[in-house]
Amino acid sequence: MGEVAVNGPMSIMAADPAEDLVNGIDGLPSDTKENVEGIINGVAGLNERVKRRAKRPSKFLSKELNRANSDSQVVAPLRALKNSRKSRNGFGRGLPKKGGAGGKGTWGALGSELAEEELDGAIDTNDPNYDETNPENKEIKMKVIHVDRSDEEIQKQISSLVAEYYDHGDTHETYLSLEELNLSVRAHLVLVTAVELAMDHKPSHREMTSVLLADLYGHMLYEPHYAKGYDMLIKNLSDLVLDTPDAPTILGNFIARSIADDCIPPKFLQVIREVDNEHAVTALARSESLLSMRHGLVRLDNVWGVGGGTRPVKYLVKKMVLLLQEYLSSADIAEATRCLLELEVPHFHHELVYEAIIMTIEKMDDRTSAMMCELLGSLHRAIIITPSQMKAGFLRVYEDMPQICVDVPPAYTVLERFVMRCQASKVVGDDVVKKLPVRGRKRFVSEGDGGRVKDDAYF
Amino acid sequence: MSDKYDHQKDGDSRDEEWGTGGSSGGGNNDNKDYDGPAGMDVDGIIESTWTEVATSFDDMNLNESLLRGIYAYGFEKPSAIQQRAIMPCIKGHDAIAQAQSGTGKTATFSIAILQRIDSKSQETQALILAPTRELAQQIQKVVLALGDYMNVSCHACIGGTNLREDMRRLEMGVQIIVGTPGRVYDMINRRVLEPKDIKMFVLDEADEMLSRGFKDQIYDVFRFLPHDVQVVLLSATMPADVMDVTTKFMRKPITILVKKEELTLEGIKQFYVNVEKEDWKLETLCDLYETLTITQAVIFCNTRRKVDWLTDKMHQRDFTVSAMHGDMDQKERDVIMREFRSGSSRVLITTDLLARGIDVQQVSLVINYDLPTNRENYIHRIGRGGRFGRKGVAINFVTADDARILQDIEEHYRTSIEEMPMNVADLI
Repeated sequence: MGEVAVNGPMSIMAADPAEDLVNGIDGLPSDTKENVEGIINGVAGLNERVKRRAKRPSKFLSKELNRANSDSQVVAPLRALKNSRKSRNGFGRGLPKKGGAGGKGTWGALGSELAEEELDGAIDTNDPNYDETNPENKEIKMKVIHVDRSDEEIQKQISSLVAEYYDHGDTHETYLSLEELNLSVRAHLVLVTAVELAMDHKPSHREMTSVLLADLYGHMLYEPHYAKGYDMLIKNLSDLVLDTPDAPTILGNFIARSIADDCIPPKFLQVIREVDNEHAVTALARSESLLSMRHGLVRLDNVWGVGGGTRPVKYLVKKMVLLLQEYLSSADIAEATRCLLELEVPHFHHELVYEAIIMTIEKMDDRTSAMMCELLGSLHRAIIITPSQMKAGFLRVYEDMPQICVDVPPAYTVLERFVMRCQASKVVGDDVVKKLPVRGRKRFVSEGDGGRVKDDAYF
Repeated sequence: MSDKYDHQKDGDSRDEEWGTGGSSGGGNNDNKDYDGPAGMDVDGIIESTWTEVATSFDDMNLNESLLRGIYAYGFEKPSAIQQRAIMPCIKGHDAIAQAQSGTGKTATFSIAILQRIDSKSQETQALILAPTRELAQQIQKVVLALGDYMNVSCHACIGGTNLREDMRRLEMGVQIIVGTPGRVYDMINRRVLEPKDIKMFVLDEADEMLSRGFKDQIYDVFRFLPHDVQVVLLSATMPADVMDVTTKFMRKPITILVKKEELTLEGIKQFYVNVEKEDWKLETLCDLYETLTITQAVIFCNTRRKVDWLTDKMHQRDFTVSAMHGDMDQKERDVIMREFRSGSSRVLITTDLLARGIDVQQVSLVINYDLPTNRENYIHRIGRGGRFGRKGVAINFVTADDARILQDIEEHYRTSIEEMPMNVADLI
């Protein structure tokens, strides 16, 4: 992270081009010391002399002197200056310049005024109109400095990076960006910020956070960072719990997951044991119980659930079928709703409708039909399934009816009964009912259309 | 956000009789105007027990300075929920407003609060509860932006290291306070928040708050409020626990349900281009550039780094593009957006995160330089709201590895994405 430092009106910039030129011509290495000696001993070529004359040599020299003085080897350059024929009083002796055009009381060489203006001649700091804040009046040197950023600032930067990570899911990319922040000793802030942010977000984002924390291990975060970060979070729990009532459980999950991912050793839980705050105790107990579970380490991979739009469609479909089957045996609408919301795919809810109807058709009994209707009705009233998703689900079944019918001959009757039931409980509107396909009858557009078969019934 | 639902002519507000039952609006002719494409179901999309609809902000009898703030914020016309919910909220009714996220619920209650606030009194007059700190901060920004010309104070309680700052601000007196239920309750307990003058109590994203386990905290906060406080509840869904809250706290609430989905893929032509390798995407994009500039286009990359890289590459080839950079603050982003909206720049490169909250939906061409990792983001990139601006073309760049992802997107949205035809320019 480079910052720009503005130096005072020193003539560093003015001097540098000349030096570079010298180096270019004489092939001297660009070491300042040698450079100074080179100039002073008059080794420098003709070009350099011209260049030097363009500005006041005395000033240049005194600066070199200063530089040399600041060096550790103070004596050598000074001795080298001893035999210099240049004036050291800063004004020169007033003699005409060797170029023939300069000297006191002359106008100087043709065009020299341009060069002087550029360098240091024209700007007078004592001029009442001198504008100190105008950068053009100063010679500015850029240098990289490390500003001491506050932890808060860093956390802000980290959280914007993590928020972006939630969208793209590329841990390497995030690692590169985090690296640019130059965190060094404060790397544990990555963990703190990421976990705090994850508490505000959905379970799938918490899963991504865990993946990120595991992937950063060995690159940016090491054991002490994890320990320090989690330690900070545990101490801060009583505050976090205000904004996230589940914070202890969430933190417990994160710690357990980090242990399962081999980022911190299990003994961390014992080390950190001495806390007196009740939330911290809950968090640690949560981690411990997760870890002590049989096959706990495997289960921890799913500690944040299994939802999210990043999972393959097939996988989500399977989850939906499972939750419907569970619902049929438990009749627990609230649980089914919770499972559906856990999947975090509101635009895929048509699949649940579709699967529910298919299941009803395949089971063919009245109980399934009634239960499914009740479930869909509840989800509809809660607007968890929007009317358009509901309709899409039904229309998908309509489309697939010819296929379904092959396996379940009475499919059309079952479907019709189900649709009527749903209509009665206001789950679907009349337009969905109107499109209900009927088996074995060709549908004509109207009587007068010459018997054209209506083949686009559902579009 | 602005002109999605203005089905009425000339912005005159007139009474409408929306049925209170599920699909009872079937016979109502006004319903027909709601949706563009023929045959779309409109029954029961909007249910409301409040019959007045204000189709323009001018019709709401708002303060001059508030109205100025609203237009300065970029709103032109109220959204469906705003048309129906702002007026009853201003009149002091308890209200339940349901609408999908992204349909302007925050602005709805913000406008009502700002209209009702007494700017001379420094006492806390409105309290807004939100599920997360992140959201609380967003709400605060909206309130301050809308009330820019009104001299109101609004503070978001964040806690953590800012705890001291929070307490200092609250003790100075803040008219509008936003925070999570737990945080606000803590502030009341510390006696830095004096609830006796609160006249409006807003629960934003109530379903989200309850699912995050804030039930007790909400009840706790409510106990401290004056008994005649006006309660406004907003939620995207209406599960049983939300209904519980409404029956416990609210008196004869007005209910407004906008069940319509915020975004749709209907009417959008979606194509893919097989680019085989990641490296060939750039060439493909350059080939398409002519087509892009026929109208305006937004190009989505997955990361900010990629945005910077792509912008650089395009500039090197002398293509004019503007970009949202990661290190831009909100002001700079607004400038870029304004340039883009006004048409002075025609191609915008951005990411999901940077484009969030900006209305790029009027753009008729969207290119997914990278396919979204989370499929739920796909509709946010290319979906359109309302019945206007439904036309649009989306082009997805697909490498050999992406084929599976593309197929999943098709299944997820029950939509079809076809190979891009040669004459794509004609479709834009």
